[in-house]
Amino acid sequence: MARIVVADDDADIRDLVGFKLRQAGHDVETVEDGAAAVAAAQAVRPDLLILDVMMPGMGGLDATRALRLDPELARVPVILLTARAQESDIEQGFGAGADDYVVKPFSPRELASRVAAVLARSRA
Amino acid sequence: MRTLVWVLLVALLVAAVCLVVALFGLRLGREVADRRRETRHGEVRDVILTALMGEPDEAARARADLRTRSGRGWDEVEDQAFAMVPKIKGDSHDALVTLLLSKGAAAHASTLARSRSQVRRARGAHRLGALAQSDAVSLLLGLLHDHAFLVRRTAVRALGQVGDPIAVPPMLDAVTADPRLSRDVLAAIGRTGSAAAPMLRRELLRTLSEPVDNRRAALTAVGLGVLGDVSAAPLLTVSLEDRDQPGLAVASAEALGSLGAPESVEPLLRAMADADPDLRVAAARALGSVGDVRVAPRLAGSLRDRHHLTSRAVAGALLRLGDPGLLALRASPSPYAAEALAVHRVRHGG
Repeated sequence: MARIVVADDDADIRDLVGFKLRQAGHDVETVEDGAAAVAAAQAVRPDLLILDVMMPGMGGLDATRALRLDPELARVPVILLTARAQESDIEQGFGAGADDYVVKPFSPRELASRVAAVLARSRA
Repeated sequence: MRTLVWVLLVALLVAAVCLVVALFGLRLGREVADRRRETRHGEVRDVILTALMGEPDEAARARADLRTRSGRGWDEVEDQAFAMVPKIKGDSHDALVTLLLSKGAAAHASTLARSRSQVRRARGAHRLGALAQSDAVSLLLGLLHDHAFLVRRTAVRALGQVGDPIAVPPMLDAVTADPRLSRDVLAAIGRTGSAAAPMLRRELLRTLSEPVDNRRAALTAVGLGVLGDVSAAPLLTVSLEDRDQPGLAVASAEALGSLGAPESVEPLLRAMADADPDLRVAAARALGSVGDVRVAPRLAGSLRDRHHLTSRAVAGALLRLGDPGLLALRASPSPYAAEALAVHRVRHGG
């Protein structure tokens, strides 16, 4: 079981991701934007964050950069959830410090597999 | 007289108290209704999520539960399910669409699409797109002529989701009638995928023999680039040299850049000498995308182009060509070469 913070401004996505991850036995906290994700990460010290790229206020890329600047959270893996599948967007995501990305529309099953893989890598 | 004043005062006081009580009651009633709606929404949401992603037994039970719902109970399910469908793919998406179809959601969406209200027509078109059933195409094609922009735009998006290539020419017609749909039509062509390519090639051939609306012609060329239809490269090379239709040559250059076709290098270099600065910019960018490093020395000559955007595009293209491009930039006195090299240093250090 892992502690996971999910940030997305779309309630449907939060519910879908949250349900799938809870079903896989994880402890999930959902928030609506990047700033709330960073605050939640500082409070609960999660094992993983799943961040939407485009959110009002602080987006997923800025939130990832902010996490990487925090010595306590710099090594927490981040998966970006993005509707922008262009090569340059993906490159930008990795450049910001993300560990993986999932393109929207997403398959909940694929997301769960990616979460398992990223968690396994980070624990190795 | 004093009695009358007292009576009036008391009456006013009673009326004020009644008004406050009524307003309080209304507010309370609304809050209760909102809370009930939220509870119902949450309950339906849980059942839908279980139906989509629950363990096999509980998922089957949840689906059976959803199928038994009718009237307003089912409307709530339908609203939430249609909000979720475009956001997911895979097994969960298929399960949701199957559930909706089994409850007659396609017929309901068609009824909405024929409604007198433009909001309902748009909602109907959105739902038909989410269900992606090919028998909805004719209805959606009809909505391309709707008087409301919202409906036309939703219909274009829905046709992209259905992905039937037969919709490509009517969508191009819709752009002729309303250029604001260009971006959506291009996205819809992209979603339709390679099946749309033969239609677009036919359109481009027709465009070359009988000039059509400029925007339509340009969109046809760009669409072939978006689809990555390499077999269209020879045709796009011809349309690149068509000077009768402003915009088509520029769009063809963009498309050839997207395709990265090696045979387009020489025609693109010829386009660099054209009088139209927009074409020179597009050709320079395309040459950068094609990535044939042998063009670097010839392209470097255009760093001195009289049009500053062309010079900047050439510098950008040379950056993309790697070492030969960097060599050409370092050898040039052009300020745009210096600018590109500064960008390179910021990106890569050194």
